[in-house]
Amino acid sequence: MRFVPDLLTGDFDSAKPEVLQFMKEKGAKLVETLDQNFTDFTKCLQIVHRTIEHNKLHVDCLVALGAFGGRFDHIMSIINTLFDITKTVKYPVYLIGDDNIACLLRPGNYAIEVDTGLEEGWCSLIPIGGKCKHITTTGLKYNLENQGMQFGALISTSNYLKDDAKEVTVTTDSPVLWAMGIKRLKLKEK
Amino acid sequence: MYPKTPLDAVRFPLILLNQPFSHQQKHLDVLWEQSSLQAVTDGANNSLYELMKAENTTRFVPDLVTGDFDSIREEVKSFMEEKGSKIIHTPDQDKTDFRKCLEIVADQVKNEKVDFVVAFGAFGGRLDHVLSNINTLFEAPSIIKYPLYLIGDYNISFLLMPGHHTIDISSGLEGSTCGLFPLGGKCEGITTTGLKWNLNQDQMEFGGLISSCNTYEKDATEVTVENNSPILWTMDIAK
Repeated sequence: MRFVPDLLTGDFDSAKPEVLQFMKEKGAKLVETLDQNFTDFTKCLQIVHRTIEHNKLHVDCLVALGAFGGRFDHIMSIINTLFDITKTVKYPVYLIGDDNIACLLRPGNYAIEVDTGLEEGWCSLIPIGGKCKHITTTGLKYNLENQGMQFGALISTSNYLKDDAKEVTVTTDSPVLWAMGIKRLKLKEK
Repeated sequence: MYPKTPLDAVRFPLILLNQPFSHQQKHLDVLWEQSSLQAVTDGANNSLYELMKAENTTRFVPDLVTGDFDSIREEVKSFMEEKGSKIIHTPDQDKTDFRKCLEIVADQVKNEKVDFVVAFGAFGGRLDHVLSNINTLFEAPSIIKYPLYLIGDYNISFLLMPGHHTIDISSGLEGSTCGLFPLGGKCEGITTTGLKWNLNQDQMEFGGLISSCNTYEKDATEVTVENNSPILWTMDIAK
Protein backbone atom coordinates (compact mmCIF):
# COMPACT_ATOMS: atom_id res chain seq x y z
CA MET A 1 0.00 0.00 0.00
CA ARG A 2 3.08 2.15 -0.32
CA PHE A 3 1.72 4.16 -3.28
CA VAL A 4 -1.39 5.57 -1.63
CA PRO A 5 -1.03 9.36 -2.04
CA ASP A 6 -1.99 12.14 0.36
CA LEU A 7 -3.98 13.87 -2.34
CA LEU A 8 -5.81 12.54 -5.34
CA THR A 9 -6.83 15.35 -7.71
CA GLY A 10 -8.20 15.90 -11.20
CA ASP A 11 -11.41 16.00 -13.19
CA PHE A 12 -11.59 12.21 -12.72
CA ASP A 13 -12.34 11.45 -16.37
CA SER A 14 -9.55 8.82 -16.41
CA ALA A 15 -9.37 7.38 -12.86
CA LYS A 16 -11.39 4.18 -12.47
CA PRO A 17 -14.13 4.38 -9.80
CA GLU A 18 -12.78 1.32 -7.98
CA VAL A 19 -9.36 2.94 -7.87
CA LEU A 20 -10.77 6.16 -6.42
CA GLN A 21 -12.70 4.11 -3.86
CA PHE A 22 -9.61 2.11 -2.87
CA MET A 23 -7.45 5.22 -2.46
CA LYS A 24 -10.12 6.96 -0.43
CA GLU A 25 -10.45 3.95 1.86
CA LYS A 26 -6.70 3.87 2.40
CA GLY A 27 -6.58 7.50 3.46
CA ALA A 28 -6.08 9.62 0.33
CA LYS A 29 -7.96 12.94 0.25
CA LEU A 30 -9.91 13.19 -3.02
CA VAL A 31 -10.15 16.66 -4.51
CA GLU A 32 -12.21 16.89 -7.67
CA THR A 33 -11.17 19.80 -9.89
CA LEU A 34 -13.67 20.29 -12.68
CA ASP A 35 -12.55 23.62 -14.13
CA GLN A 36 -11.92 22.91 -17.82
CA ASN A 37 -9.97 26.14 -18.23
CA PHE A 38 -6.95 24.63 -16.50
CA THR A 39 -5.13 21.33 -16.91
CA ASP A 40 -5.12 18.65 -14.21
CA PHE A 41 -1.47 19.48 -13.54
CA THR A 42 -2.06 23.19 -13.02
CA LYS A 43 -5.00 22.50 -10.71
CA CYS A 44 -3.01 19.92 -8.75
CA LEU A 45 -0.12 22.33 -8.36
CA GLN A 46 -2.47 25.03 -7.09
CA ILE A 47 -3.90 22.62 -4.50
CA VAL A 48 -0.45 21.47 -3.39
CA HIS A 49 0.71 25.08 -3.12
CA ARG A 50 -2.37 26.05 -1.09
CA THR A 51 -1.77 23.06 1.22
CA ILE A 52 1.83 24.13 1.73
CA GLU A 53 0.84 27.74 2.49
CA HIS A 54 -2.05 26.75 4.75
CA ASN A 55 0.06 24.35 6.80
CA LYS A 56 3.08 26.66 6.70
CA LEU A 57 5.25 23.77 5.47
CA HIS A 58 8.88 24.39 4.64
CA VAL A 59 9.51 23.24 1.11
CA ASP A 60 12.73 23.37 -0.92
CA CYS A 61 11.28 22.38 -4.27
CA LEU A 62 8.44 20.57 -5.93
CA VAL A 63 8.89 17.52 -8.20
CA ALA A 64 6.44 16.49 -10.91
CA LEU A 65 7.12 12.91 -12.05
CA GLY A 66 5.89 11.48 -15.34
CA ALA A 67 6.16 14.76 -17.21
CA PHE A 68 7.67 13.38 -20.42
CA GLY A 69 7.12 10.60 -22.96
CA GLY A 70 3.79 10.19 -24.71
CA ARG A 71 1.64 12.96 -26.08
CA PHE A 72 3.56 15.98 -27.20
CA ASP A 73 0.75 18.42 -26.42
CA HIS A 74 0.81 17.23 -22.80
CA ILE A 75 4.50 18.07 -22.60
CA MET A 76 3.82 21.56 -23.99
CA SER A 77 0.97 22.02 -21.56
CA ILE A 78 3.09 20.91 -18.59
CA ILE A 79 5.83 23.36 -19.57
CA ASN A 80 3.19 26.09 -19.89
CA THR A 81 2.11 25.38 -16.31
CA LEU A 82 5.64 26.29 -15.21
CA PHE A 83 5.10 29.71 -16.79
CA ASP A 84 1.61 30.01 -15.26
CA ILE A 85 2.73 29.45 -11.68
CA THR A 86 5.66 31.87 -11.87
CA LYS A 87 3.84 34.53 -9.87
CA THR A 88 2.49 32.30 -7.09
CA VAL A 89 5.09 29.58 -6.55
CA LYS A 90 8.51 30.82 -5.52
CA TYR A 91 10.31 27.49 -4.97
CA PRO A 92 11.68 25.57 -7.98
CA VAL A 93 9.45 23.07 -9.76
CA TYR A 94 11.30 20.16 -11.40
CA LEU A 95 9.77 18.04 -14.14
CA ILE A 96 11.11 14.47 -14.31
CA GLY A 97 10.33 11.66 -16.72
CA ASP A 98 11.80 9.37 -19.34
CA ASP A 99 15.38 10.03 -18.22
CA ASN A 100 14.90 13.81 -18.53
CA ILE A 101 14.81 16.46 -15.81
CA ALA A 102 13.79 20.02 -16.63
CA CYS A 103 12.94 23.28 -14.96
CA LEU A 104 12.10 26.79 -16.09
CA LEU A 105 14.74 29.44 -15.41
CA ARG A 106 13.07 32.83 -15.12
CA PRO A 107 15.18 35.91 -15.87
CA GLY A 108 18.12 35.95 -13.45
CA ASN A 109 21.38 34.19 -12.47
CA TYR A 110 21.54 30.52 -11.67
CA ALA A 111 24.13 28.02 -10.47
CA ILE A 112 23.16 24.42 -11.23
CA GLU A 113 25.06 21.72 -9.35
CA VAL A 114 26.11 19.00 -11.80
CA ASP A 115 28.52 16.70 -9.97
CA THR A 116 26.16 14.37 -8.14
CA GLY A 117 27.19 11.49 -10.36
CA LEU A 118 23.59 11.04 -11.49
CA GLU A 119 23.89 13.27 -14.55
CA GLU A 120 23.81 11.45 -17.91
CA GLY A 121 25.90 14.20 -19.53
CA TRP A 122 23.65 15.85 -22.11
CA CYS A 123 21.90 19.12 -21.39
CA SER A 124 20.07 21.91 -23.17
CA LEU A 125 18.68 25.43 -22.88
CA ILE A 126 15.57 26.19 -24.87
CA PRO A 127 13.79 29.54 -25.36
CA ILE A 128 10.31 28.05 -25.14
CA GLY A 129 8.52 31.29 -24.32
CA GLY A 130 9.90 33.23 -27.22
CA LYS A 131 13.08 35.08 -28.08
CA CYS A 132 15.73 35.17 -25.39
CA LYS A 133 17.75 38.31 -26.01
CA HIS A 134 20.82 37.63 -23.87
CA ILE A 135 22.06 34.45 -22.28
CA THR A 136 25.49 33.56 -20.91
CA THR A 137 26.64 30.23 -19.49
CA THR A 138 29.68 28.54 -17.96
CA GLY A 139 30.34 24.86 -17.38
CA LEU A 140 29.03 23.64 -20.72
CA LYS A 141 30.87 22.13 -23.66
CA TYR A 142 29.32 24.78 -25.93
CA ASN A 143 28.92 27.84 -23.71
CA LEU A 144 26.77 30.80 -24.69
CA GLU A 145 28.38 34.21 -24.56
CA ASN A 146 25.77 36.93 -24.22
CA GLN A 147 23.95 35.45 -27.21
CA GLY A 148 20.34 35.48 -28.32
CA MET A 149 18.27 32.30 -28.70
CA GLN A 150 15.06 31.71 -30.60
CA PHE A 151 13.20 28.94 -32.43
CA GLY A 152 14.20 29.20 -36.06
CA ALA A 153 17.66 30.37 -35.06
CA LEU A 154 19.94 29.27 -32.20
CA ILE A 155 18.63 26.92 -29.54
CA SER A 156 21.05 24.98 -27.38
CA THR A 157 20.34 21.26 -27.70
CA SER A 158 22.71 18.26 -27.57
CA ASN A 159 24.97 20.34 -25.35
CA TYR A 160 27.07 18.62 -22.68
CA LEU A 161 28.34 19.25 -19.20
CA LYS A 162 32.06 20.01 -19.36
CA ASP A 163 34.00 16.99 -18.08
CA ASP A 164 35.25 18.44 -14.83
CA ALA A 165 32.42 20.93 -14.25
CA LYS A 166 30.98 20.98 -10.74
CA GLU A 167 28.37 23.53 -11.67
CA VAL A 168 26.77 25.21 -14.65
CA THR A 169 25.94 28.90 -14.38
CA VAL A 170 23.24 30.56 -16.47
CA THR A 171 22.47 34.26 -16.71
CA THR A 172 19.40 35.01 -18.78
CA ASP A 173 17.15 37.96 -19.42
CA SER A 174 14.17 35.84 -20.57
CA PRO A 175 12.61 32.56 -19.39
CA VAL A 176 14.48 29.51 -20.69
CA LEU A 177 13.87 25.83 -20.15
CA TRP A 178 16.87 23.93 -18.73
CA ALA A 179 16.68 20.21 -19.55
CA MET A 180 19.27 17.54 -18.86
CA GLY A 181 19.62 13.79 -18.88
CA ILE A 182 19.66 11.66 -15.75
CA LYS A 183 21.12 8.19 -15.43
CA ARG A 184 18.80 5.27 -14.98
CA LEU A 185 19.16 4.01 -11.44
CA LYS A 186 19.64 0.28 -11.04
CA LEU A 187 17.44 -1.14 -8.32
CA LYS A 188 19.56 -2.73 -5.63
CA GLU A 189 19.18 -6.52 -5.29
CA LYS A 190 17.55 -7.43 -1.98
CA MET B 1 -4.38 21.98 -48.08
CA TYR B 2 -2.84 19.34 -45.85
CA PRO B 3 -2.85 15.80 -47.26
CA LYS B 4 -6.31 14.59 -48.14
CA THR B 5 -5.24 12.16 -50.81
CA PRO B 6 -4.29 8.61 -49.93
CA LEU B 7 -0.60 7.97 -49.40
CA ASP B 8 -0.18 6.04 -52.64
CA ALA B 9 -1.27 9.09 -54.63
CA VAL B 10 1.42 11.34 -53.17
CA ARG B 11 5.18 11.32 -53.45
CA PHE B 12 7.23 11.91 -50.32
CA PRO B 13 10.76 11.29 -49.06
CA LEU B 14 10.98 9.77 -45.59
CA ILE B 15 13.64 10.71 -43.04
CA LEU B 16 14.07 8.37 -40.09
CA LEU B 17 15.32 9.96 -36.86
CA ASN B 18 16.97 8.27 -33.94
CA GLN B 19 14.16 7.83 -31.42
CA PRO B 20 12.74 4.52 -30.25
CA PHE B 21 9.96 3.34 -32.57
CA SER B 22 9.36 -0.23 -31.52
CA HIS B 23 5.73 0.38 -30.50
CA GLN B 24 4.93 2.18 -33.75
CA GLN B 25 5.93 -0.58 -36.14
CA LYS B 26 2.75 -0.28 -38.20
CA HIS B 27 3.38 3.44 -38.82
CA LEU B 28 6.96 2.71 -39.84
CA ASP B 29 5.79 -0.07 -42.20
CA VAL B 30 3.23 2.14 -43.98
CA LEU B 31 5.47 5.19 -44.27
CA TRP B 32 8.46 3.18 -45.46
CA GLU B 33 6.44 1.27 -48.08
CA GLN B 34 4.84 4.39 -49.53
CA SER B 35 7.85 6.72 -49.49
CA SER B 36 9.68 7.61 -52.68
CA LEU B 37 13.06 7.88 -50.93
CA GLN B 38 14.32 6.81 -47.50
CA ALA B 39 17.09 8.62 -45.62
CA VAL B 40 18.05 7.27 -42.20
CA THR B 41 20.15 9.20 -39.70
CA ASP B 42 22.97 7.67 -37.66
CA GLY B 43 21.73 5.45 -34.79
CA ALA B 44 18.29 4.89 -36.32
CA ASN B 45 20.09 2.51 -38.69
CA ASN B 46 20.99 0.28 -35.74
CA SER B 47 17.28 -0.15 -34.93
CA LEU B 48 16.42 -0.99 -38.54
CA TYR B 49 19.26 -3.49 -38.65
CA GLU B 50 17.89 -5.26 -35.55
CA LEU B 51 14.40 -5.33 -37.11
CA MET B 52 15.74 -6.87 -40.33
CA LYS B 53 17.84 -9.42 -38.45
CA ALA B 54 14.80 -10.50 -36.42
CA GLU B 55 12.66 -10.94 -39.54
CA ASN B 56 15.50 -12.13 -41.77
CA THR B 57 14.69 -9.56 -44.47
CA THR B 58 16.34 -6.58 -46.15
CA ARG B 59 13.20 -4.49 -46.44
CA PHE B 60 14.51 -1.62 -44.32
CA VAL B 61 17.67 -0.87 -46.29
CA PRO B 62 17.44 2.87 -47.00
CA ASP B 63 18.52 4.82 -50.07
CA LEU B 64 20.63 7.11 -47.89
CA VAL B 65 22.47 6.67 -44.58
CA THR B 66 23.57 10.03 -43.19
CA GLY B 67 24.88 11.59 -39.99
CA ASP B 68 28.04 12.28 -37.98
CA PHE B 69 28.17 8.51 -37.31
CA ASP B 70 28.82 8.72 -33.58
CA SER B 71 26.00 6.22 -32.92
CA ILE B 72 25.79 3.89 -35.91
CA ARG B 73 27.63 0.59 -35.40
CA GLU B 74 30.34 -0.29 -37.92
CA GLU B 75 28.72 -3.61 -38.90
CA VAL B 76 25.41 -1.81 -39.49
CA LYS B 77 27.05 0.79 -41.75
CA SER B 78 28.85 -1.97 -43.69
CA PHE B 79 25.66 -3.99 -44.00
CA MET B 80 23.66 -1.04 -45.35
CA GLU B 81 26.42 -0.15 -47.79
CA GLU B 82 26.65 -3.75 -49.05
CA LYS B 83 22.90 -3.83 -49.60
CA GLY B 84 22.93 -0.65 -51.67
CA SER B 85 22.60 2.37 -49.36
CA LYS B 86 24.58 5.47 -50.22
CA ILE B 87 26.59 6.45 -47.13
CA ILE B 88 26.97 10.20 -46.59
CA HIS B 89 29.07 11.33 -43.63
CA THR B 90 28.01 14.72 -42.27
CA PRO B 91 30.46 15.62 -39.48
CA ASP B 92 29.53 19.33 -39.07
CA GLN B 93 28.85 19.74 -35.36
CA ASP B 94 27.13 23.10 -35.79
CA LYS B 95 24.08 21.45 -37.31
CA THR B 96 22.00 18.50 -36.15
CA ASP B 97 21.97 15.19 -38.05
CA PHE B 98 18.33 15.89 -38.92
CA ARG B 99 19.06 19.27 -40.44
CA LYS B 100 21.97 17.92 -42.44
CA CYS B 101 19.83 15.01 -43.65
CA LEU B 102 17.08 17.39 -44.74
CA GLU B 103 19.64 19.38 -46.75
CA ILE B 104 20.77 16.16 -48.48
CA VAL B 105 17.18 15.14 -49.22
CA ALA B 106 16.44 18.62 -50.58
CA ASP B 107 19.34 18.23 -52.97
CA GLN B 108 18.24 14.72 -54.01
CA VAL B 109 14.72 15.86 -54.92
CA LYS B 110 15.62 19.19 -56.50
CA ASN B 111 14.78 17.97 -59.99
CA GLU B 112 11.62 16.08 -59.15
CA LYS B 113 8.26 17.00 -57.76
CA VAL B 114 7.38 15.75 -54.30
CA ASP B 115 4.37 16.66 -52.22
CA PHE B 116 5.91 16.87 -48.74
CA VAL B 117 8.64 15.38 -46.54
CA VAL B 118 8.01 13.16 -43.53
CA ALA B 119 10.43 12.79 -40.60
CA PHE B 120 9.49 9.75 -38.53
CA GLY B 121 10.79 9.02 -35.04
CA ALA B 122 10.54 12.69 -34.11
CA PHE B 123 8.95 12.22 -30.66
CA GLY B 124 9.67 10.26 -27.49
CA GLY B 125 12.96 9.91 -25.64
CA ARG B 126 15.22 12.87 -25.05
CA LEU B 127 13.39 16.18 -24.64
CA ASP B 128 16.20 18.19 -26.25
CA HIS B 129 16.05 16.01 -29.36
CA VAL B 130 12.28 16.51 -29.63
CA LEU B 131 12.62 20.29 -29.32
CA SER B 132 15.53 20.31 -31.74
CA ASN B 133 13.35 18.42 -34.26
CA ILE B 134 10.72 21.13 -33.81
CA ASN B 135 13.35 23.77 -34.41
CA THR B 136 14.09 22.09 -37.75
CA LEU B 137 10.46 22.81 -38.71
CA PHE B 138 11.28 26.51 -38.31
CA GLU B 139 14.48 26.14 -40.35
CA ALA B 140 12.93 23.95 -43.06
CA PRO B 141 11.50 26.67 -45.34
CA SER B 142 15.04 27.93 -46.00
CA ILE B 143 16.21 24.37 -46.82
CA ILE B 144 13.38 22.81 -48.86
CA LYS B 145 10.29 24.25 -50.52
CA TYR B 146 7.95 21.42 -49.51
CA PRO B 147 6.02 21.07 -46.21
CA LEU B 148 7.77 19.03 -43.51
CA TYR B 149 5.74 16.80 -41.18
CA LEU B 150 7.10 15.35 -37.93
CA ILE B 151 5.58 12.01 -36.94
CA GLY B 152 6.27 9.81 -33.94
CA ASP B 153 4.74 8.32 -30.81
CA TYR B 154 1.26 8.75 -32.29
CA ASN B 155 1.79 12.51 -32.79
CA ILE B 156 1.91 14.51 -36.01
CA SER B 157 3.23 18.07 -35.85
CA PHE B 158 3.90 20.74 -38.40
CA LEU B 159 4.50 24.45 -38.43
CA LEU B 160 1.90 26.88 -39.65
CA MET B 161 3.69 29.89 -41.09
CA PRO B 162 1.79 33.22 -40.99
CA GLY B 163 -1.25 32.91 -43.24
CA HIS B 164 -4.40 30.91 -43.71
CA HIS B 165 -4.36 27.11 -43.39
CA THR B 166 -6.88 24.32 -43.90
CA ILE B 167 -6.22 20.98 -42.23
CA ASP B 168 -8.27 18.00 -43.36
CA ILE B 169 -9.43 15.85 -40.42
CA SER B 170 -11.76 13.44 -42.19
CA SER B 171 -9.38 10.57 -42.88
CA GLY B 172 -10.60 8.49 -39.96
CA LEU B 173 -7.02 8.10 -38.71
CA GLU B 174 -7.11 11.14 -36.44
CA GLY B 175 -7.07 10.69 -32.68
CA SER B 176 -9.20 13.04 -30.66
CA THR B 177 -6.71 15.62 -29.44
CA CYS B 178 -4.91 18.52 -31.04
CA GLY B 179 -3.13 21.69 -30.00
CA LEU B 180 -1.62 24.96 -31.15
CA PHE B 181 1.58 26.29 -29.61
CA PRO B 182 3.37 29.65 -30.04
CA LEU B 183 6.88 28.25 -29.76
CA GLY B 184 8.40 31.01 -31.84
CA GLY B 185 7.13 33.65 -29.44
CA LYS B 186 3.96 35.64 -28.88
CA CYS B 187 1.38 35.37 -31.64
CA GLU B 188 -0.59 38.60 -31.81
CA GLY B 189 -3.63 37.19 -33.60
CA ILE B 190 -4.98 33.71 -34.25
CA THR B 191 -8.42 32.55 -35.36
CA THR B 192 -9.62 28.98 -35.86
CA THR B 193 -12.67 27.02 -36.94
CA GLY B 194 -13.41 23.32 -36.52
CA LEU B 195 -12.12 23.00 -32.96
CA LYS B 196 -14.14 22.41 -29.82
CA TRP B 197 -12.46 25.46 -28.26
CA ASN B 198 -11.91 27.83 -31.17
CA LEU B 199 -9.75 30.92 -31.08
CA ASN B 200 -11.06 34.25 -32.24
CA GLN B 201 -8.44 36.92 -32.95
CA ASP B 202 -6.75 35.79 -29.74
CA GLN B 203 -3.20 36.34 -28.63
CA MET B 204 -1.15 33.28 -27.77
CA GLU B 205 2.01 32.94 -25.72
CA PHE B 206 3.56 30.62 -23.15
CA GLY B 207 2.47 31.82 -19.74
CA GLY B 208 -0.66 33.17 -21.35
CA LEU B 209 -3.07 31.43 -23.70
CA ILE B 210 -1.97 28.26 -25.44
CA SER B 211 -4.25 25.65 -26.92
CA SER B 212 -3.45 22.20 -25.53
CA CYS B 213 -5.73 19.15 -25.14
CA ASN B 214 -8.13 20.70 -27.65
CA THR B 215 -10.36 18.50 -29.76
CA TYR B 216 -12.50 18.70 -32.89
CA GLU B 217 -15.97 20.16 -33.22
CA LYS B 218 -18.60 17.46 -33.69
CA ASP B 219 -18.90 16.52 -37.38
CA ALA B 220 -16.07 18.85 -38.43
CA THR B 221 -14.21 17.64 -41.54
CA GLU B 222 -11.58 20.34 -41.48
CA VAL B 223 -9.86 22.78 -39.17
CA THR B 224 -8.89 26.24 -40.40
CA VAL B 225 -6.24 28.41 -38.81
CA GLU B 226 -5.45 32.03 -39.56
CA ASN B 227 -2.32 33.23 -37.76
CA ASN B 228 0.09 36.11 -38.04
CA SER B 229 3.18 34.43 -36.56
CA PRO B 230 4.47 30.84 -36.80
CA ILE B 231 2.39 28.42 -34.72
CA LEU B 232 3.03 24.73 -34.13
CA TRP B 233 0.04 22.49 -34.88
CA THR B 234 0.04 19.09 -33.21
CA MET B 235 -2.50 16.28 -33.39
CA ASP B 236 -2.57 12.69 -32.33
CA ILE B 237 -3.07 9.59 -34.45
CA ALA B 238 -5.77 7.13 -33.33
CA LYS B 239 -4.46 3.99 -31.65
